Amino acid sequence: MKIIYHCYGGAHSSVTAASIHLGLLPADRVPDSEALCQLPFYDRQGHDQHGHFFFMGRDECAHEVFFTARRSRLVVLENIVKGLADIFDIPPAEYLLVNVMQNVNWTMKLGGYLSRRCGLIKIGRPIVTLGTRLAYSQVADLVRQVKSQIGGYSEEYPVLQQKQFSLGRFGGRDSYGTPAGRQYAGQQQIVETAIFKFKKKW
Amino acid sequence: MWRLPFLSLKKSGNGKIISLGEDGQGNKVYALSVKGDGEMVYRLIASFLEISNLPANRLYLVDNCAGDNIFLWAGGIFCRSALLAPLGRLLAMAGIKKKYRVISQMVSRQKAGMGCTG
Repeated sequence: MKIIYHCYGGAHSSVTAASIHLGLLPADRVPDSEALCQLPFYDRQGHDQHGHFFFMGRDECAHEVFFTARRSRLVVLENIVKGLADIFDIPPAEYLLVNVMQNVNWTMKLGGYLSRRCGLIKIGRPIVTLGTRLAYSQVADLVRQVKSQIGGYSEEYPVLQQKQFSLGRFGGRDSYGTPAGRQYAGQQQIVETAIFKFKKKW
Repeated sequence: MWRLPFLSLKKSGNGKIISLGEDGQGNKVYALSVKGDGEMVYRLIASFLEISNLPANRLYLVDNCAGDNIFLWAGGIFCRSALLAPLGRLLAMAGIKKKYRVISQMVSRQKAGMGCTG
């Protein structure tokens, strides 16, 4: 199964949820700001990468965990994923879209806007990190609900985790522009496969 | 014309992929409204195909290069109101007629590029 966490900008709440899901962040306590900032993709995604499904890792049940930004187009994301799944006969049980926006507070919105939209990272990042810490328990609860909904998770197994890598330049091969005239959909893979084992603290 | 499914889309229909049938070569044809967020929608589609391990050549994304004109724009706004919908439809119809040649030429080019005939 593919579990896709999504939010407005794909830089904070969805990254945090995906990280909790994979055991990169603890689910039972609020991590410090440094732990959040060290996450791959945290406060990194640019406007021109919105819509891309970023692979975060594979959990202990071998489910693939992704996150994406869908701006304020929740319905568009849901309709497109459903439509494509119908066209290509992908069973609905193969993917799960999880909206993390419900847990985003105003502090996160303000910090995220300053950091991602205005480019004021020095001012925005501490604010959005504070907001993430304030919303952390709700995000962790959401992940817990997702896991209990899917079922099959255990406390014992290690988590296969993806190696960290740089985001690359904006508009690079991990970001697609508007097709000029006609263009094939689908491009090359942008992430590496599972690299090392990560012990889950759940 | 107004029997076409995408001309009576509600707001909840944004992003809905609408099947329009098959062409002479058996290719399935769909319509999709990207509504201002075109690049994000292209990335969504391309990325979803990629993570689903679907071959890149299974889907062509064709940008309708015609763009909006004032009639289509005004028609779209009026169509949202139940009272002004008939006027909106008239305006939208005029807008489509104005762009029809451009759209038709674009379709012909795409068909020629894909090796379709007729």
